[in-house]
Amino acid sequence: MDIVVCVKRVPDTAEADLSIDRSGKDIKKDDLVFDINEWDNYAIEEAILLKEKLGGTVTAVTMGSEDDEEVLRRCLALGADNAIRLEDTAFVGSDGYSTAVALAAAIKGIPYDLILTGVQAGDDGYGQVGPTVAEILGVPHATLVTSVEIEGKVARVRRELEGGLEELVEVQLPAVLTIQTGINEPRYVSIAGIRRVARRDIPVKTAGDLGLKPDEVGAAGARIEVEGLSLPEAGQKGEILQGSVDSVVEQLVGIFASKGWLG
Amino acid sequence: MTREVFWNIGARWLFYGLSVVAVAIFLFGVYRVVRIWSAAWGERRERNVVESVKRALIDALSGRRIFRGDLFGGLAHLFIMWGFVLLFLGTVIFTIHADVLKFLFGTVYLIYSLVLDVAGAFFIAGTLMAAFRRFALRANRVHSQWDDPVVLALLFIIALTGFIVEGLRLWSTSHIGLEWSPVGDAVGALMDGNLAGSTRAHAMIWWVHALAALGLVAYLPYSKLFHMFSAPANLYLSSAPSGIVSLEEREGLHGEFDLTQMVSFDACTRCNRCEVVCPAYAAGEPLSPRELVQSMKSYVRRKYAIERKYLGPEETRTTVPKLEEAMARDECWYCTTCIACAERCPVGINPAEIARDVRAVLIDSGRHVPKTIRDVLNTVGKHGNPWEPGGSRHFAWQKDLEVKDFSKGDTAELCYWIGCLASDDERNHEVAKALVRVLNAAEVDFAILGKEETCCGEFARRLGEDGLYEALVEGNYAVFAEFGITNLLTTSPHCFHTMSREYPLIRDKLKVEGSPVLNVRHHTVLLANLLREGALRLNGRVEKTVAYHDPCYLGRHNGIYDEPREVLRAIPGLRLVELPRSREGSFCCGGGGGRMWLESDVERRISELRAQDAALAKVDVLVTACPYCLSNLVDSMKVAGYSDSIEVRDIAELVAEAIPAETEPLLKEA
Repeated sequence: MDIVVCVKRVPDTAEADLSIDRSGKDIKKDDLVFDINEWDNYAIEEAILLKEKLGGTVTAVTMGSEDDEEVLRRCLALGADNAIRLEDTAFVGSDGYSTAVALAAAIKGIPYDLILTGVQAGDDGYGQVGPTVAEILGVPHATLVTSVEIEGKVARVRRELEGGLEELVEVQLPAVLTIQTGINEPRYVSIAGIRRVARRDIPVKTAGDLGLKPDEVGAAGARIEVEGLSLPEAGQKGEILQGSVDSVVEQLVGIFASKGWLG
Repeated sequence: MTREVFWNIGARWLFYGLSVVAVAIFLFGVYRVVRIWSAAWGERRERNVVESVKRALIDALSGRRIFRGDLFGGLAHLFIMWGFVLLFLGTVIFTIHADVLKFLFGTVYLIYSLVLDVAGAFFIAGTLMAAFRRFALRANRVHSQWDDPVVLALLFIIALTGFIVEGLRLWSTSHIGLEWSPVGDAVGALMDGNLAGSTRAHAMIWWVHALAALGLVAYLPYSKLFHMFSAPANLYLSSAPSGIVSLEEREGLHGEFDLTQMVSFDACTRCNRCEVVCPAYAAGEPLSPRELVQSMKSYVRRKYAIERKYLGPEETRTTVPKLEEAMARDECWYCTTCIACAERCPVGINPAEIARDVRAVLIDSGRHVPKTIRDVLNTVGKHGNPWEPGGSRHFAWQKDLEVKDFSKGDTAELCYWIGCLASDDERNHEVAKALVRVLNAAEVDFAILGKEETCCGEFARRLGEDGLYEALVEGNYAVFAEFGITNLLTTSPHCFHTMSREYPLIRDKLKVEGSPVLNVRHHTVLLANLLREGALRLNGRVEKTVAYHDPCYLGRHNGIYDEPREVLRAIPGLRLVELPRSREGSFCCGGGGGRMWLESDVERRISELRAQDAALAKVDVLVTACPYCLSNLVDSMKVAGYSDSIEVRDIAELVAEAIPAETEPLLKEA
């Protein structure tokens, strides 16, 4: 079972104070801390678990600069066998589609039975790369995957639907699965583990290496153009009613009445 | 005056033959154990051999560590140990007399007889006391296994049959010099009614005695009695303080444990003294230091023992056990590293260090690391502190302090290292503010590191994340070098411990350019010094009854017991009382060893047990000198319902209270 995992390095924005940069199309990232995209962390863990069970190889792929190499090292420390980084000035300004074009071109060159991605990335949240890679490669895909079982040439996967429902589907291999958080418990990656793979060679591929023309990828090949970013308006502060249940109900009814909502 | 060798005993060749067999089995057993020891990755201690030998000999021969909290057990052991040693030496001496050089004649023989007779009496008394203690008193809630009565019975039978044989021989051969063998004589007198059959009885019992003794020799390295070798060995090995092996040095060294730890597994006699003082066990958490040590013992046995290679079924030969499976549940993560267990262990085992090293193995494999531990380590790795993205918000409260800040270009003699907990926890902010008041009143020239301060790395080390620890230490040394800092002040005994004890052990290995030799002080020590020098005067009265809770990392780990008490006694009006569990016997708050970040689902928390101690002592204030203790004890007072009657405060806050406002010319209220 040869598995390819697409990973992305994203800024940790959960608790950070965000502000828009001068271009108006991106956030300021100077003071932000970067890490592997949360969904991708589950995807790489799932790939390693499958490899431990079934044998084979795991290859991690990312598109990005030298700084982004750290997420690939993390994957190697976890137990991935190979890592590939895609870098080219032509890739700058990629959206979900043109990212998928580059990734698919890279994956085409390596043997694979299964391709895993996170459901989405924590920064732009498009959720497009996995299905688009599948379409370009002409293989089936399943999104929002919460469990994977491999039986021969078939993957039996559970998909998370709305309202707590789950769908059990069979997907012919090779296939793309986009992995949902919580599918496993990602193991801890120690600093020592990362240091051990610090000198491993990670090949870099350019658009030319992948047989891609500059106008197919990056901003030129993108189908979405960001016009501007804005921070959501802070909502009004909520009011917490206090007192006994009776008095809280009374206050609430009073508020409704004052708004004219009670007809 | 002497005794006839092999009086009344035939088939001596059989005895010699069996002796050879027993010794062979003994030697194989020793080889088997030593072979397991050789699977250690190495040693991390540097020692003064003479000092270590001296300490090991004193501890082993006096058995003084066994007396800690167990006078009866200590005496029983002393009798058995010295009885055994003397009787064994007696046997060796008699073997020399019998087979090499005859020298036991006259007075020498009589003294020899007397010494062995008395030793034998104490030995028998010791075995009876031990049986009573184990099975009737159940001291230290000792858990008995099948071999515990076997070992005791074997010792008892050997001694008893020895006396019977002696008595029968004495009363059948000569009646001269009987007063030099009073016990043997008395036993002989008891048997005298039936002297006719005594030679046959004597021969039979002699063989029982001989077979039991040879059986003991053969069984010894397979039983807990092996501790007569492994315990002194472990006392020797553990007498030197632990060093730190850098990741670079550790890389390529195979094995989970160092030599001291491998020996300590075999030195453990399951006496259970550790479990009795373990705070995690007391709170009902899934950790017993005894079980941890024993499970690691069985783990290294399964992994490295000779039978794994040559004997046993296919399964034992092929399955390499996993460390995480050898442990009972997640027990290693529950250790607070308070070392109450190590303090009590008679043979010098440090279960907290074993737990730490087990964690290091689990951290390295990445599996079986509890989620909250993974999260906090990831957070420290990313943000340099155990809280969520810190940056400006993390240190915002310091604006109120009006103090100098190295990161803003100020300089000072002393760097006040605030610490992560004090930087984030609101209750602990009060301690920092109080200490700043006190330092200003004493006109101490100090500054903080402000936004340049990161985690000291202490709990990363305790959690076994040695790579993260090294990265943090490197970063901190670089900051100290950049700002020319050599003098540090901390309020956390954890920062204090790692920066004063552990940083120097790894400083030269990390090779940070210009890294200074640090002089680190805990605030209780600085305050005691300021009071002694007269730089700090306490005029205000604090009319309260207080008890001092010894933080583990100040007390047991660093031996600082007196300075905090000295400071408290210097506060006018304050009445200091001692908790029943104090100083070396202090009871942990439950926050050490990374436990602050482990979510435990047990109902009762360790700190609630400590809150009860304070309630029973009827104090107004429970004083401590550690941010973990403060945070945990404040919470547990609330949970236990004592927060109206008992305050929890840091020593710095009480000192600040004893400084009247007019003596603080430099203080600007925020």
